[in-house]
Amino acid sequence: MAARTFGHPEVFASIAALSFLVARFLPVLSIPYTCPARGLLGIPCATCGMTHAFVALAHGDLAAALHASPLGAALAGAAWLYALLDVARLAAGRPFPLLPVPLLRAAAALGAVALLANWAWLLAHQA
Amino acid sequence: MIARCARCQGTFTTDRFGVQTCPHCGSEILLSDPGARPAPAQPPAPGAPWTPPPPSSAPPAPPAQPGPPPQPGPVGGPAAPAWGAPPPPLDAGRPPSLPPPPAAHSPSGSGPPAGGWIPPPPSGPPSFGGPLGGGPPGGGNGGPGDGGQPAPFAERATRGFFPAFFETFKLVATQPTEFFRRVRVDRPGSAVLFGVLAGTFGTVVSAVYSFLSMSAAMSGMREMVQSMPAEQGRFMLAFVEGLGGKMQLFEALLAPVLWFITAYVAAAVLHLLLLLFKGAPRGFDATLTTVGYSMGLLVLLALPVCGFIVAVIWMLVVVIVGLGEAQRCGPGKAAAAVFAPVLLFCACCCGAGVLGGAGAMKAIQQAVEAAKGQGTSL
Repeated sequence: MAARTFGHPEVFASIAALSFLVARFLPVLSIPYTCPARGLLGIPCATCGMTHAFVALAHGDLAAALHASPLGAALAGAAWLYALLDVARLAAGRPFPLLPVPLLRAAAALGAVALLANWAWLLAHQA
Repeated sequence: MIARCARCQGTFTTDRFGVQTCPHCGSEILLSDPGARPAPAQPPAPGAPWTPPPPSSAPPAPPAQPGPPPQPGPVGGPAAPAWGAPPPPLDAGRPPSLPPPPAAHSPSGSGPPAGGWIPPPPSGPPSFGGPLGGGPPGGGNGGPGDGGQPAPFAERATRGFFPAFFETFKLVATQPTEFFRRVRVDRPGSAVLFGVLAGTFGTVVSAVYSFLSMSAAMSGMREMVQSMPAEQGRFMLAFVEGLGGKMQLFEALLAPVLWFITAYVAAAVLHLLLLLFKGAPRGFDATLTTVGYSMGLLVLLALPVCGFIVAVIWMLVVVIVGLGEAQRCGPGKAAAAVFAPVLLFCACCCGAGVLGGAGAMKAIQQAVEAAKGQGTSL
């Protein structure tokens, strides 16, 4: 059976792996950038702290990652786990599992709720 | 014979034609007999214009008929990818004014043509190739394997790179409705390449402009900052300084990678939101194709002063129109998917403002009561 060996799943796995390499080996925290919401309004945006979370988790500091952004830490862990699983899947020659649309829809809804919860946490702890 | 499922894109081996079940997703698919298909479409003539949709005098689209799912496209076999009859309409809320995709012209006058490839209308200008008709016969919601007309940029090998690029840009910018209604969505590679090239060009030119004008901009910013609160002024100066010099060189060098990642991540987020609103019947490829071609408007970043604003606003409009057409979900759901993050942000800011205001009122009341308790008049 001729299966496509580098499709969208592999692109996303590559992006996830690249995010680990960047967070682990590049000085991304030294980039002079401030979130506009935090700078102008004084409150963190919903995605504030994700870079810090990625960098902290890439260096093995789970507590700092969770403190910077719980959703960022979860996203980093999930992305890197997905990259590893995709490499294993390719090595095993298995096709990418098709996810049913209702499951994807539920995941999208869960993601939106998680984003809101993360924002509430950031507002409560960092505002 | 190896066949590909039009719904899940999975491939499988079979030794017969006709109706069969995809072993990956369980969809019932119809593998057409190549002996029944007509001659394939002629390759495009270099420089031929992208054929616009037939004018209103063209034969109207036949009504959508429920039928079997899209036919699979054999891989490596002799037959070209083919369409089947469309699945039943998925979006009952689609505006009635939104016309269905162009109708298929059956050689026999009824039903889809064998093989699914449709000749260009005789009265129209010569097509540059590929099938006409942006969707399955009847204008239903096709699966990811639906046919359509390749974008000019997808045929850059025959049309020439720059003519194909400019023709595609013109169509995306000025006729997004027609373009995304008809463009093929099952091969998003060209769309992503188009968007990455456009974004890279715009970013590099914008970086050059910014680098040349940075000193003047900084002096003007320092004057402006003096009239701002100290905290915001410090932030603005740091923000503008951070955008200059090394940062711009960094952006220009990494622009291709950054825009490639942006295309995929943006498409993924938009697709999840479309799924949430039940507006993604044609799959991720359609979303990625729309995002990729819409990113072509990032060429406008090269415009000095107003390039960013113009590019962003125009691209948002094109993305909304394009998703509505490419996903056959209508502009409402597309706009909801695009603006949901913005609305979420605004709603949460308003909520935070209300909570903050309530807290402030409570603190004022407590202060007033404390002052009354001490016999102080406020």
